Amino acid sequence: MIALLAAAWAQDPIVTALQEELQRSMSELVLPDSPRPYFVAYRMKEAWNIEVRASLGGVLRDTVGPDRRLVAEVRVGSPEYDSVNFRSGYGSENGLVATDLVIGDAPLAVRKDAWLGSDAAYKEGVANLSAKEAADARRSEGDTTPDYTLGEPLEHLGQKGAAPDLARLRELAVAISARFAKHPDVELSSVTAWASGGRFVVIDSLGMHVERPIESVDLEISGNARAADGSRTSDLRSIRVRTLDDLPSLAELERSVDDIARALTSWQAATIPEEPYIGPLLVEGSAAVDLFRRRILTELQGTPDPERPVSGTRRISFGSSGSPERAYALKRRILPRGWTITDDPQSDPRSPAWRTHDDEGTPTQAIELVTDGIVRTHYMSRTPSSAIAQSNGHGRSDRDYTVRGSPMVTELHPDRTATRRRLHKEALKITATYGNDHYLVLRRYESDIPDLFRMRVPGHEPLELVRVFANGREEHIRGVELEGLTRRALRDAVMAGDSTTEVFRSGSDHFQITAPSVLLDEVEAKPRHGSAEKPPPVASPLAREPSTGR
Amino acid sequence: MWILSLVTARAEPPDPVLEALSRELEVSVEGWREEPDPPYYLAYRSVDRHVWRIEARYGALASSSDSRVRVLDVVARVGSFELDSTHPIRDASALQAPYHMGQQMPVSGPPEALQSVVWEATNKEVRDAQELWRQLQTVQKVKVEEIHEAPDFSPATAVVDVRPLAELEVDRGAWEDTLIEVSAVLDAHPDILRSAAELSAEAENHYIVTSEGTRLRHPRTWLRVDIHTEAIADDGMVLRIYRWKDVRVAEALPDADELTSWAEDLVQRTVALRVAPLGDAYDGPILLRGPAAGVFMHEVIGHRVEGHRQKDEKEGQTFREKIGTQLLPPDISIFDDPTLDTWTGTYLNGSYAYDDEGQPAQRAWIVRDGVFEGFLMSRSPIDIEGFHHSNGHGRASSYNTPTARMANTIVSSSRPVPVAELRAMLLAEVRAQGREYGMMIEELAGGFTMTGRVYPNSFNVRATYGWRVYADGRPDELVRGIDLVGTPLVALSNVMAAGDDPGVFNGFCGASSGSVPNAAVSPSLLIRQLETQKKESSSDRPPLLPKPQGPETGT
Repeated sequence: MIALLAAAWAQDPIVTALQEELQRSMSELVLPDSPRPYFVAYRMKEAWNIEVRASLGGVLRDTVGPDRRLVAEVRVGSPEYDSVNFRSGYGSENGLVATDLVIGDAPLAVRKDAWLGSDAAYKEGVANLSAKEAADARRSEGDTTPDYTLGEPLEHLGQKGAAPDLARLRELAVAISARFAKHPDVELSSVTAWASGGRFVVIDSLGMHVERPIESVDLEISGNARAADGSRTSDLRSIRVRTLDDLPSLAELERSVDDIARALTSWQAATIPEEPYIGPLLVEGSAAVDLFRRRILTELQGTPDPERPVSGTRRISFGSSGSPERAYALKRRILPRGWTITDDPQSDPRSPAWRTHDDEGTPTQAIELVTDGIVRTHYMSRTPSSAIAQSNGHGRSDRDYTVRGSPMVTELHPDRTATRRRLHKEALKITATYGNDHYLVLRRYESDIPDLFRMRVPGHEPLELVRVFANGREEHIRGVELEGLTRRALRDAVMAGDSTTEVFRSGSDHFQITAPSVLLDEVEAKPRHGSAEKPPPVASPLAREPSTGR
Repeated sequence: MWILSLVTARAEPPDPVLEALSRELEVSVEGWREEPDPPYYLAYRSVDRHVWRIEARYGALASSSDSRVRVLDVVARVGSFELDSTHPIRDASALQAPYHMGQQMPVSGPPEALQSVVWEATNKEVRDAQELWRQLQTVQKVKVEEIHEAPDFSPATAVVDVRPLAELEVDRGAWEDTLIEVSAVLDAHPDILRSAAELSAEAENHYIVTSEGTRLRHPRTWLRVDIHTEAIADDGMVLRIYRWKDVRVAEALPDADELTSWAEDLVQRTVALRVAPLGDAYDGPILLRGPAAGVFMHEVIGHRVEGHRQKDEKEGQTFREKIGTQLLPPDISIFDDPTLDTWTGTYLNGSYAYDDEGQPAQRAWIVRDGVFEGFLMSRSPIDIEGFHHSNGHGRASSYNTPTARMANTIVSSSRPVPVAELRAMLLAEVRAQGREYGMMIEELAGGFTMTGRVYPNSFNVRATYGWRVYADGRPDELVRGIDLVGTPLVALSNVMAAGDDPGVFNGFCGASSGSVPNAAVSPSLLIRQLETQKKESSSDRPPLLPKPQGPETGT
């Protein structure tokens, strides 16, 4: 069976056409007095994509269709010193060129698109290499870290994801969105669903041919509410699975709507503190995952940024002009003793983040990034850093088509976890030393997606922040700014509790993070005096009294 | 292949969009009335747009999409007709102004789904208008009086007209097959780098509901088939040539045979242009062939007679004081008429029944018998007698506020000269000026013009296909890489004669109120003196490897 499947893929005329054009580019592309490519790779995403957006039982928009997109990567120079790993200005004209391919089963037409993409990538590569050499000639000390690591010939032909069903997804999105009609306090709401089914193909000039499935369904349910003082907030719950069949039942999804409404209603009724609070904070659930993602995991991405000209020698140069290596140094303590961080992309086949090979075709590896609180390795692609020379199969394509080492299925494990009761007791003990009669628990941040109707991008503000008293009574508060949620605070975390798993979507890719709740011994919660707009004189259509319409 | 129909209005069911807009308008007017500085005018404009697009290239399907979108724009005015919140705050940075933006409305669902969007958009636009109004009252006190004082808005009679819905039904498979075939013809020559055959079809239903009582629903349909090619000359100049046809009904589209013939012709022209010599800077007689002449007039005079520019102190106002002045030869007239659906049998892209402020479309004369007569007007009045009200030219794309814009701009002559005679006149003028050759411009890809006071008040018309016409009888010589440039009054004063070959250029015009469909119609025009300049060029070498050629690989 496996042999038959492999034979079918091997005869795939689209891939064959791409392989032919790739080989022609590798062997024949040359400009006068210029180096030839030393490596060419094509990365193709071929999928049926669906997007449905619904609000209050109506469809805002839906799009469906096949898409075939190629990134041609042409490297000039050598793995030690090449054209890709350099950026002189705002653009990224470095030999990575994205091209839309025809969607028809027409290999010759596909070749023509690939031909133009490769030609442009090669010319960019030659120009960028010469710009890099010129800039480096001016530099007092050169960077000796190699720019790339070549892989081995490899063939892996995974299955193709099935095309998703638009009608089913539309019906579901509409039904979930209609649930918001039961919650008049939620002023604006939407349900956005994406689904993709197809394959991701990597071929290169060293004989690699890797295919892995593209298979994902994302539901994002969001609602927005306004408090009596005009302040607004929004909440978003996401459900991300591999296929439509993996989704929870409609009743469960409707419960997410009810949960959003409950969170927003609690926020509306919350107290605005008049005095600042200094004391312990227990970060739970999705807020804990979010905190570790933002503060810790981004600093474990080992792929260096592209090199840049010497600072001050270009008038327009965006991004960091400092060291391109920004990950935590190896051997540095970043978490309490006993904590580990692992990433195993093949550990959860039901997750849309699951993958056997990364975006460079390298087999994914289970890695232990942090042991006993100390950094041992980084997420790595084939672009080495001064600390790590090899890929560990964590290369994920970024928006500029560069492949960077990135989280895939990451888990943070404390050496021991405390019960809720134990965390409560410990928090009360710490807060007493600050003279408080309560401590704070942060459960959710407000959503950081652009607001549906106003393009307002909410800050990373708490949505569900609660005062907890000794007798267990809880009181929601809002309108505060939290300070002290630093990397240092996580390193010195007092205690950890139960874990939560969240799946994130980045472009069309996914990654998954599991993190425990964590008790921090000192944060500051300062009342924030906002600039909220007055509420409108007309109630929202859902909140109007039927008799008056007002 | 395509069935595009206007469904007849027989016992039309209630329209959910019209109902939602009307209901929300009523509630909003009532609710905001109790606030300080309530809007004196509130309007909702919505466009429901069903769009099909198909693209084929290299003998294969490149994309095929079907989308439906419904967009809402809210206009709120605070103050009075004389002075209101839309009045420009002089010397203010555009970045300080609240940003008007449209909203996407659901294309289906219960009334609350539609009304929630309208409610949210109304809140934003009214609050923005109130803030601007309060700011304006102070700013007016610290600035000198304006030179041209005119009210900000003109009253208008309410219109109620609910027309049948436009609907679109497409035989997608048949058109995909046709375009695939045509795209293979376009790609056949090795010098053609890129090419495509495309079809766009849109059915739009426009809604306008205002606090003055206007309730409108009017349809618009549009289909375009378009083929284009791209080649690169040895000096790096990228050459793109297009051919297209805009129509209202599917039956008027060219069939596969006609498209194939177009494709063959376009390939030949592209290949010829690739090796044509570069044009150079030139001043002298130029013969503009039909559609090219229409675009020329669009850029030279059209944008400068848009009414709102006559009271904007940053605008050049070239024609503001020219009413009654002889601008063109006495046989030439120009008017703009959105009520015309065709001209000499060709569909006009700028046709509509009502403009985007809900005003009935009207013919507006710009030049009659060579004498400048007037401006295109939206509901923004100007302080010139006869131009205090709209003449049905308030236009905007979604997400923009309407201003005066062209629709179907028609240049005509009462003494048309046969084209062969016009060419003879060109040569006579070339000889009279002692020149080696004159220029004949056949095709344009569009143009642009600068109408303000800071930058040169000039135009640039982007020629794609032009010829040197030699005085000594040598064959005409195709040249590439030139644009027509000049300044408006001098250019108009050099118009000598018009031909008998009216040509239609259907396109989309982008300006401050967005991209709107329009048509420029003109016979060929002979210009005594006009300038060409070299076109900008890229510097990339042609592809290093030859184009992959058939047979199909891997099959």
